[in-house]
Amino acid sequence: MTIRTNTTALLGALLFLGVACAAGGDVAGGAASSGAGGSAAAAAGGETMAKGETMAKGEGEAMSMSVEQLGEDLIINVGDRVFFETNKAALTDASTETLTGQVAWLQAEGHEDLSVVVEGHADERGTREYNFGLGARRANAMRDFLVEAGIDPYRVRIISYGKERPVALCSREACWRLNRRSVAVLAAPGS
Amino acid sequence: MNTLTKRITRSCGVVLALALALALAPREAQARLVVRITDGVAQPLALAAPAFEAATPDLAGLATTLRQVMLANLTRAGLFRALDPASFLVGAKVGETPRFADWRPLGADGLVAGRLSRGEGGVLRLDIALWDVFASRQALTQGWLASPEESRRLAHSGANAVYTRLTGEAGPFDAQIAFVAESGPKKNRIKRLAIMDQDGYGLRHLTDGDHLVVTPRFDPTGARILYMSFESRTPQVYLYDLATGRRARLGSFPGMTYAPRFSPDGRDVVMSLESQGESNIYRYSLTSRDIQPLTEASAIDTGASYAPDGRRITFESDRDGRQQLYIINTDGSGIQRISYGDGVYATPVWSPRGDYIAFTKLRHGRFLIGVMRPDGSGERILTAGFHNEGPSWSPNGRSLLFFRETPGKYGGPHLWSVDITGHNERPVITPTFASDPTWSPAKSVLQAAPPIQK
Repeated sequence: MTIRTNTTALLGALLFLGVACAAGGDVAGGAASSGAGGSAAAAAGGETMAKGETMAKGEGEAMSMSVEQLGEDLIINVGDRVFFETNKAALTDASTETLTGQVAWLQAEGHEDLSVVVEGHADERGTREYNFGLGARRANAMRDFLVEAGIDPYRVRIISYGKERPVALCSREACWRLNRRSVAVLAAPGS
Repeated sequence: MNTLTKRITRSCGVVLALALALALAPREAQARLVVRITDGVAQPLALAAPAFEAATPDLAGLATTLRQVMLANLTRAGLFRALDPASFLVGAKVGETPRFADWRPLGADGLVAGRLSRGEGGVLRLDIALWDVFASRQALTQGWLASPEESRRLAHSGANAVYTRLTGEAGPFDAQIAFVAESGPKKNRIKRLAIMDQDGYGLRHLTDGDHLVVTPRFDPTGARILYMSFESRTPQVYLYDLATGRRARLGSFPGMTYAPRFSPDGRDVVMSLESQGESNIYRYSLTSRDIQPLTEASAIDTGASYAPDGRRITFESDRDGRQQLYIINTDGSGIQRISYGDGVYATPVWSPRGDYIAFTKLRHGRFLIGVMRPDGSGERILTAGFHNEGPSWSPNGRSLLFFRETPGKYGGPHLWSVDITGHNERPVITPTFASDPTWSPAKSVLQAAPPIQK
């Protein structure tokens, strides 16, 4: 796979992220990567990369991208998270689509050394202990999909944050649904 | 008629007869210093507490403080309202019978006197006397010894004695509260374990906020605290020793461990172990370090809490679809569901008296705190609203601490208390947001002061 030096899309995506962060809204990054992976890049304007395609390294290229940059690539171009219904840990069709993209991304050349930590979360409308269990269930749902699709289990570990780390802070369903999530966070190789 | 032992009951006929008797009888014949907590105190009794006596001038400041601490305890418990000392024409002395005629015009139901002195070896001594103003009799006289570092415990002991005299129940005042102090933005809370006396005095933090910590619970001696921490890769249960400040992870498990509680004998810990998306209750022996599964269903089982006799455990599980309450024998046999009301039930806690299980209930988008009998009958809701969660029993099993979150981006949790009757719902003030409160066991009773020689 050749290098896609699509700097316009990269700059556009980074600009979008910058604007979103500066706005300081309730949703940090969630809106940028909800559901279908390609939508954020499309919103950034300019040329977009098709979903599932990555900025992979070519032959002879050193892994010049940092884990942070790779993480952004995952977030923007594939989607790092999936969402759940209240009290449920079942994957929806949209979730399956995102996770299929994640599998491809993790299997892409140059990404083989990368691991992910899958974080499971719950919204605030439940009790603390149960939400730790529910977050674990959601993290496992994502992990099971990745592993069953062929990702080495040693590359995927899980952690549950229960309701402790919301990204959307209003006390309404519009925010709660963004907090009911599993998120794949790229880990540095060897961690 | 023995006025000191007469009890006010709920029976209509008795109330009617009482009302008649009250209307007709001379005031002096009634005893008012009797309260049955389970019936609910409709109105606090009026307590006159003139300045405490200090045996030597250097104790005057502390005598004032101890009087203040004692009165605050009794007022907060909803038993008494303190009459304004500005209206007092005379004082009162321990060991001296007051002129009740001085106190009746003020509407006082009870009169308390206190005296602070020093004993041998620098030990402090507090004596109190309580009088039933309308029965014109002494209701109690008692004294305690304590070191200067523990001086406030004298006031707590005095308040406990008055509480017991009135209600027949053990007093809740000589105990501590541990909780999680929260600060920072809602999306990234800093959480620290904190501990304070039950009246808010002496607040200190046990952890520094570098890692999430939740759900602290005391051991039966009050010397150690179990909690869940995110300090290592996998969130786990830790044990904190209050005397040394040392903490240790409880065993080593591949998955998350959480929701820990001690057994009544302090030898075992029940907690949830997570594995492949399911959580089951396990019993961990602190002596042998053996771990034994108690539940094995494909479910989230958590919130385990021992009965005070150590023979059964209540817990919550979603094995039937949504969270419900269950009881199981400590050997893992005899699982029985006990919650069947309309709603979802969680965070069960068995009363130290064994008579109730308190819980959080979710119903129609609201969070409620309630109690039910261990067989599931007699469900009563004590408070309801946008959010209420995580009840913890006071050592005498007659009130519950819990936390209540306010909604929205700038909302956060605060501690609250409510009596088992549903009365006396009041905030427990902390300097920052606070959650996951837990009562310590009652401290061992202070040494009794020898009787005053006349």
